[in-house]
Amino acid sequence: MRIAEDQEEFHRHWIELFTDRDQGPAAAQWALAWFALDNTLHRACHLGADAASLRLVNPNCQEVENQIQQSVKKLMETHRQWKQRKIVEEAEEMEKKGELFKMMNPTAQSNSTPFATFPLDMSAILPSTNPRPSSDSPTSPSLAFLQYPQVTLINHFYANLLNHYRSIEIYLTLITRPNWGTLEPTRFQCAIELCRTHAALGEERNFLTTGKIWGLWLCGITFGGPELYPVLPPSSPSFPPPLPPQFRVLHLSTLGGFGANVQRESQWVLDRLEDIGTFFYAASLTAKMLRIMWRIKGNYWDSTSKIHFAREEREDEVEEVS
Amino acid sequence: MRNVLPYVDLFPAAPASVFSSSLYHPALRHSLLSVSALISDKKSERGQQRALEHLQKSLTFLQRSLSAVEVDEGVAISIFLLAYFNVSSGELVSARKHLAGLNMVLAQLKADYLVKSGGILLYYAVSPLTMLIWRMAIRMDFVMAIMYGLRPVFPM
Repeated sequence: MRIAEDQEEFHRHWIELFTDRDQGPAAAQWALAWFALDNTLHRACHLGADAASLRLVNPNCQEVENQIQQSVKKLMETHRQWKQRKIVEEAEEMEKKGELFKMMNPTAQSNSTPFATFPLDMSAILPSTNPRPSSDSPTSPSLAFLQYPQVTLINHFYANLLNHYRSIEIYLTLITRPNWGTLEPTRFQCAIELCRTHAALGEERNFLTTGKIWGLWLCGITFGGPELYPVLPPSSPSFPPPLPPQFRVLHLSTLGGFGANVQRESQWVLDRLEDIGTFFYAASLTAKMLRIMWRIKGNYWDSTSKIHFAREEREDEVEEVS
Repeated sequence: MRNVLPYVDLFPAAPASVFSSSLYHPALRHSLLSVSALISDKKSERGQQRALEHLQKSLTFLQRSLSAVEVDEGVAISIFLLAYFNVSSGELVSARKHLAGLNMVLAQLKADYLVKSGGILLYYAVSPLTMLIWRMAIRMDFVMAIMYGLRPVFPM
C-alpha cells in the first residue's frame, strides 16, 4: 500500500464499498478529496524533514536551497490542483452563492441561509450534523475572527477541509522559509483566512478536531506570539480597538513595523486552543507548546525538535521510574 | 466515535465494525476497552486505572501474537488503538513506536497476502476497515510530525 496520488484508483474501490451509501456517491468523492489533502501533508512532512537534514549537513548552500525550493514548488502545484476537483469546485460555488445571498440580504440571520433554494441537496455533501453555531448565546465566542469580516459558511464539512488546505499551505511555506517569527505576508494572510473560517464554524465539536488543533498551531506560529508581537489579555485596557474592514489591507501592510494589532491574533489562537482543550486534552497541550515555541523562535524544525527532545527525555524518565 | 476518530462521518459503519471484530479478538477487545475507559473516565474524572488494566491485557495478547509472528488485521487495529491511547495521554514517543509497529504489521499482512495471491495485490487484499485504520494512522503520524518537527513514521 502506497500513499501517492497515482494510487487513487486503487483506493477508490474500498472507499466506495465502505462509505455511507445513504449519502450517495458524494461521500466517496469527499473521502477521496480528504485523503488527497492528507497525502499532500504527509508528503510535505517528509519533504520538511529532508529539507531540515539537508540544511543541517549543507548550511548556507545555495544549491541545496534551490533543490528545496523546487521540491516545494512542485508539491504546491499538486496541492493547488485539489481545488480543481469537481466536488470541491461545486462546494466552492455554493459558498460563493451563500456569500452573495448574505450580501443581498444583510439582515438575514447567519443560520437562515436558504439551503432549500440551492439546486443541490446539501445533506449530500455532509454538513455537520451538529446544530449550526449561533452567536446569540452569551457564552459562545463570536463567529467573527476579531475585527476581520465574518465568513458566511454553507457547508461546514467543506469549510473544515478548506482550512486543512490552508494549513498545508502554511506548512509548505515553513519548509521554504523555516525561520518563523518574522514577517511573511502570504503566510499571514493564509492564517487570517483560516482563523476567519474557524471562527465561523463556531463551537462544533466534530471529526476534524485534530485538524483544527494543528491548523491553530500553524496560525499561532505564523502570528508569532508575544516576543514578536506582545500578547495581551483581551481585557487589557491597552487592547487596541478593532479596525474596520476597509483598513484590513492597511493593517496587513503595517506588519513590517512593530506588529500593530497582531498580538490579538496570537491571543485569539491560544484562547481557541483552550476552548478545544476543555474536551480534548491534546489542544491544551498544544497551547502550552505554542507558548514555549514563542519563546524559542528561530528555525521551525530546530524549535519543534527542542520541544520533542525535552518530551522524550521526560517520557524516558517516567518509564524508568515506573 | 465521530468525535474521537477522523473520517467516521464518511464511514459510519467503521465503529460498529471495530466493535464486532473485537468480539473474537482478545487483544483488540482490550485495546478498545482501554481507549473507551480512558475517554469515559476522563470525563467523569475517575483516573486511568481501568484504562491501564485493559491496556496491560491488550499488550500481553499482542506480545504473544507478535512473538509467534501470527499477525492479522485485528492485531493491526489493536496497535493503532494503543497509539491512539498514547496520543490521548500525551505520550507521543510511545505513540510513534506503536505506529512504527503498525507499519511493520501492515507490511507483513501485505506480504502474507502476496504469497497467497501469487504476487498480485488487489484492492480487497485488506479489509476496508483496516484500510481506513491505516489512513487514520497516517493522519496521526503527520500530526505528530508537524508538531514535533519529525519525519513521519509511515513511508511515502
